[in-house]
Amino acid sequence: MKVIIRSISLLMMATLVAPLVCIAILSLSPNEGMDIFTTYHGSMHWWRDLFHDHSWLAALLNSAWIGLLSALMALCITLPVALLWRLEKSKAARNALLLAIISLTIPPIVLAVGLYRTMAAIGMFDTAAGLALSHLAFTVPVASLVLSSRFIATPIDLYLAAKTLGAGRFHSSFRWLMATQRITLFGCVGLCMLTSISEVIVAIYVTDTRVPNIARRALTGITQDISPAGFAAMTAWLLVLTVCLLPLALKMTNKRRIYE
Amino acid sequence: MGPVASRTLRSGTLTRGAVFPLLAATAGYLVMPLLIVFRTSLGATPAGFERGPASLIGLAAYSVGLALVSSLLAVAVSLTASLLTTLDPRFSFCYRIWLLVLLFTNPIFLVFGFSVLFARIPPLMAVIAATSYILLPLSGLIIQSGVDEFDPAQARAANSLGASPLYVAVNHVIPSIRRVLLAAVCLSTVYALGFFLVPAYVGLGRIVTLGTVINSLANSVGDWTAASQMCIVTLVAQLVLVLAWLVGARLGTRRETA
Repeated sequence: MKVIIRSISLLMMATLVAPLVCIAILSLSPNEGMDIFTTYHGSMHWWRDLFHDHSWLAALLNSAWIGLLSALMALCITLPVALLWRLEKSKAARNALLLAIISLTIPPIVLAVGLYRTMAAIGMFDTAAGLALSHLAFTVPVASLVLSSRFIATPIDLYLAAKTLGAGRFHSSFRWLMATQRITLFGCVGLCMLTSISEVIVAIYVTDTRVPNIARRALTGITQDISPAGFAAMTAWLLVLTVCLLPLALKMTNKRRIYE
Repeated sequence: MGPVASRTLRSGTLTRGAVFPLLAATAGYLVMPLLIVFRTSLGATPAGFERGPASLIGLAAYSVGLALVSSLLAVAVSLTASLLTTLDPRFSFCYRIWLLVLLFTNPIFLVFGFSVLFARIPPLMAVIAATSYILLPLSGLIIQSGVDEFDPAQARAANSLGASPLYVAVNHVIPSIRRVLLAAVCLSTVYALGFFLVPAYVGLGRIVTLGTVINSLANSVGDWTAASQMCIVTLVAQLVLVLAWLVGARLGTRRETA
């Protein structure tokens, strides 16, 4: 039975990873011909191009700054409400959190059209601040989900004890937050930042050429300078993500076997 | 003013002070854009965009159908993988890393890759396969959270009474996560409804969906009124899907209660 399960697992993992492996192989293509079936000899030519082409790095750095800004804004907006909901059991806070995550059920292209018109109307089209504000549509729901799921899983005895001993609401909340949720706060900022960096549709709509970002650079990679350097960029990004997300995956892995 | 009244007043001020920024942000990124789309859609349509209701319903139905097929495929693969995580811890670890990495991978890169890898297969099949792959992390995370909630003791009890892992998966795990599966199908379909890069590049522009029409109207034609009208059609399709999800969940609850 074990052998069968292991074989099926291997087959499933191979199926899931196969497209990514093919893309990684394409990044080693010796010429511009992007056909997986004709790539026989490996070459690091496109990887060298990727690191010499400053537009990729500039786009990534700019996207990271915009993502950080959007993530911090989302955390500042969401944290007080999540605390109020968990520690004071406020119904208004619960409803506000539910309202905040509704945007996840709206098709992104509809939000993109609306946000483009909004940003154009207030003069923030093609600005970094405009993109960071637009990305709140994705970072606020992510922050709401992360904070509420972690807060509900954490007991609030420490907060209640501090309040019983005469500490004020702010002091008790701060103590509880620092004692139990430090990693959650860092994780929340990281996940919101990654959400902003990997968001594509709104980024394409609310920016033009003045704000370099990874979504626009990748789109240019598809539509204009079609070369395997794009595959090298993707493979590099996958490797960086794997290293960054390894601790989270380790924590999430349930090592218990259902069948002993 | 007594101490109780003073405390109540302070509590109300605190609630308003904490909740107001979130409500303002939600109004800014959700309500205002949707209102602007609605207002723009009411404008006069310039010449060159004359779609009858039948054509619009056909386009919406085709787009929803395509998104639904892709999300069902993604949910089937995610469910199989999630069931395997309960049997094989090594697979569980690798699958979780894969899910997280793909969740934060820029979809344009995947579209770029699939447009090359699927160059030799028919556009419709290529679009369905690529959309399903891009939907996998979303549906995978939702289903995985449902499977993680399943009580292992129940499976062990069934196993000790002679049930095979396949029997336990079909008769215990899947029924317990029915609502999660429904949520995964609905959210994935709504998300896929807005895709325009996959049909445009992987489908070589031969697959016309609501997303591609909105994008071409907004970016190529520059007709924002027509684009906004198509956005309203997309929102109506999304509302129908969400309502179907809620009705399905309610029916499931009623059947369980009975």
